[in-house]
Amino acid sequence: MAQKRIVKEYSELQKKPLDGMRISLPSEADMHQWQILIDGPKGSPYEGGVFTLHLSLPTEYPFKPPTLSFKTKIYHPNVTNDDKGSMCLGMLRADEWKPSSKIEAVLSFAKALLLEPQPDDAVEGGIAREYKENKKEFIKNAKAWTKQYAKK
Amino acid sequence: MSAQSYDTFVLAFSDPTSNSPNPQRARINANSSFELFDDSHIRTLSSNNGGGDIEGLLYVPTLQQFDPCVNASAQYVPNNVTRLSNLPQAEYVYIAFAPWISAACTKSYLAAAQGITAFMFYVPDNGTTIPPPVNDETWDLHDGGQWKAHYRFPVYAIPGTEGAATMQQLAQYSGNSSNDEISAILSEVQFDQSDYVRLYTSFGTTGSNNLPTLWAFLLIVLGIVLLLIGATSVSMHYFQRRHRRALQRRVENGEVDLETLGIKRSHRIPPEEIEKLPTYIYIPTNDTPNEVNRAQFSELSSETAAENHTFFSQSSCTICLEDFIPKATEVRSLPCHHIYHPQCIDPHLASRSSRCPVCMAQVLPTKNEPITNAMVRAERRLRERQRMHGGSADGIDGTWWITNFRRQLERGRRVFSAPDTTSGTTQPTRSQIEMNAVGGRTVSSPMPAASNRTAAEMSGPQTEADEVRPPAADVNARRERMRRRLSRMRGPERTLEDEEAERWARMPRWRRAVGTMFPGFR
Repeated sequence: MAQKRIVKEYSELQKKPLDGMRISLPSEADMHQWQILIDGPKGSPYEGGVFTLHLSLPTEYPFKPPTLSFKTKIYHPNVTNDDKGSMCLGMLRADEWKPSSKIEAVLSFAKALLLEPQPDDAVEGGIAREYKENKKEFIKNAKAWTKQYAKK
Repeated sequence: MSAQSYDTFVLAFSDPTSNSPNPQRARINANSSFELFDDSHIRTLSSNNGGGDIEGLLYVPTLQQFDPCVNASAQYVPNNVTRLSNLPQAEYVYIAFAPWISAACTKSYLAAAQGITAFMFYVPDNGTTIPPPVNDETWDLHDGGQWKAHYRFPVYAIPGTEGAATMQQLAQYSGNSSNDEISAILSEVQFDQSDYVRLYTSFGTTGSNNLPTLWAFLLIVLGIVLLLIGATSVSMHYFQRRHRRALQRRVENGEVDLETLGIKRSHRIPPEEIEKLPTYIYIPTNDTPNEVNRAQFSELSSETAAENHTFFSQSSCTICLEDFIPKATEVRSLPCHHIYHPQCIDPHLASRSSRCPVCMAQVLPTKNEPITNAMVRAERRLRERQRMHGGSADGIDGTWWITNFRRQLERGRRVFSAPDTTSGTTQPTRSQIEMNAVGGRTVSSPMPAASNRTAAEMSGPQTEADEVRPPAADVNARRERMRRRLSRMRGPERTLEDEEAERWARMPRWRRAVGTMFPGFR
């Protein structure tokens, strides 16, 4: 069932791709691991960068939420700064996930988060504080990181 | 009771058998009569007797007429010595006194003594030192010590010289007022001339006084300790029960959901119950059912038939995202009116959750399963974490230390229900996770230009330190996410209930007893 649904969602996203996103499978044999290239949204400090994301779908999908992580380093209050790059998405939490949620919604949400970080729900406290208190500095840092790590 | 001392003195007393209106007794001054006190030379040969004072009028038991011991002891026991017949036969207790000449004579004397409180012997050897110890052959009656069990009164021994002196005085004070000395004593204390003047012995025993008070003291202390333990246990039970009730209420009011919080094992639905959930042939809302379809709805009750249009407005299965084929697909309807392919929803209900995947409504009415103390703790922990997380705004204001301080207080307050520190071997401890988190953080510096911290510190006037050490609330939240992520990676989720059951099974028996007595003490 999981396989069927994943194939369906994948082909739908291939047919009608989301704006500024390219989805591919690192391994054709494994439908559970997706690679997503996402363009930094216009008007955000990430503009001009391309970020690689990894979406991992558990075998229990859609009953268990997928996990989304940034492979490209990003200066963002809701993405951990470690090598995992885990993204904090409310809808991906085990207790908030609903099987009726689609990957499309997850990806749209991730994109919206790039455009508008949520410092109150942060995993990186320092960045969140900077975002709230010193936005200029934040934008400067985020742009610098985008330039360094997320070049096209 | 073993004796530490003894005191033999002269006692004047009125005859208790005479109908004297006011019975009198008086201890006669040692200067004008006799007294023997010794607190270092008495040997206890047999320490029978339960307790109380060991004292009484002193006399020498009278042996059988033809007992060879009568002759053997004649040289030590004067003819006019005090005998039982010289003592009043009521009200007073007696102590027998005799020389220890031989095993046979001692046996005779022991047998001759009747109704006595104790027996006092002396070896007529003119010794002044303490008599030999109990296991000395002097005291061997050739019966393997059975006499001690047979005669249920204590037996003491005093030095030879003291014994001889006592024997002499026992002869002195045996008669009536025809004896000048006795008459003088009775006059001195202004007693009637028909009253008695006799020797009286009192033993100073150990334990008889001290031991009971010591025991009483110990018992009192023990009682207080037990009372305190009991009170603590009762109050802990009381508070835990109150917390359980409070959580139960909140669950009933729908404020918290323990299953989605991962605290409670979500109960699965047995297959036979799933089979009871109705299945229909899918017909979309805009498709008016024709006669043929009505026939297919034979199992429908009139009530649900009326609601047909409501639940059939859903056009696809949210689990597999496949569209339902009108008039062909079989769909299962949950009480919340969400419909699924039976092959999609049945395994979910049977093995994963008893809730509708779309609206999270319980498919079966929730059974009122008992709330455990561990659930209360876990729920409070989660709530606090959420509060900390929500309070990260404080942290950003620069008042994060208040949050931190509050957390410290919280930690102190929860002595009786501290968060679990170990959650099994398969799962990394929380501190490890935190270390990982901090480690990862230090390696990947948030500064883009600096590849490591030292460089950043040397080069930058940046607020590096602040960023490396985030507010406590953030660490908390972050730790929580790490934990979540790890628990996701771990595969099938274990609920707190499972963990608690395992922990309990691992505990030694005494630890479980303590846990039962003091709920919440971990």
